[in-house]
Amino acid sequence: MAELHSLWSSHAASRICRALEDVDVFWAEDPINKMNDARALADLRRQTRTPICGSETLGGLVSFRDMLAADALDIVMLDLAWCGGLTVGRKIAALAESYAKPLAPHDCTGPVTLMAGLHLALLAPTAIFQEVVRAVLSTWYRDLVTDIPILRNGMVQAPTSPGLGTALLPEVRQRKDASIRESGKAAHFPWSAQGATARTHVGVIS
Amino acid sequence: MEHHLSLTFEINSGLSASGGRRTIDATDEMRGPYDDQVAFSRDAGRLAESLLSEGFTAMKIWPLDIYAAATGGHMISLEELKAGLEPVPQSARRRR
Repeated sequence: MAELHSLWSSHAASRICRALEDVDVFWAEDPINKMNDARALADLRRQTRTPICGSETLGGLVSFRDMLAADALDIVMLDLAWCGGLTVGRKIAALAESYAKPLAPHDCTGPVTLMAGLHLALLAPTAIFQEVVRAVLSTWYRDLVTDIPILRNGMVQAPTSPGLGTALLPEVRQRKDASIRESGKAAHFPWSAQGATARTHVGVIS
Repeated sequence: MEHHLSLTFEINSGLSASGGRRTIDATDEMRGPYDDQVAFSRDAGRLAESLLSEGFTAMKIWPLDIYAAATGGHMISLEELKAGLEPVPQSARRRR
């Protein structure tokens, strides 16, 4: 796969994607700036045989519906932390299925998002990949949570624990570089069974 | 039935120490054993072999990013395309 990181305008992206045809990449990801431009992406797809993947940068169900309705994508990439969580991600997965497009959850947003993406990918009939980052799987992801995905011969195993199958390690809260944000009471999350409990988000900024 | 899912692979976050997009030049050294942004810039084929040895059968790289800043992403020359895509056939040859 070739990652283009939303750095290019349409003409340059078209030149790149046509050049990539010669090496038969599996996809070109996020080819244009910005990836919410369904019309420009559909135009790009008409100019190249390179499959277009997008986009972890999109948020909300309607963004993905508009992309698929415009024939703007070959592969649907989503990031659960940015698109609207599992609630929206499940619907995007169903949309991708209904448009007969493969789904590939993003990684780079941390180990909790990765585990959630893995669950979604196992659920979604058209999911083909769960992205992982080898460097962080072997380093700081392990420092934050109790469990990370188990890899065996390039295949990630389905988690067997309840829920996400992972949790923040208690010591993360004690780290000097931890940023702790308390948010939410029942009034803010009336639909949540946990709404009556204040929520704590712990993040690490490094 | 055992459930499993194939994995694709992306290298590190691609950010520099200052938080901007990281670029690699001849002076960069590996940050740890899996500094794969350096690895794909130097020898993507070797990186592909390393991934295959651990069972990863897909790899994602971004060899063209370094050419975007000069024109704000509006222009890429033929020379830049050829230079930027040079790592890709190396890795493609090692595909299963």
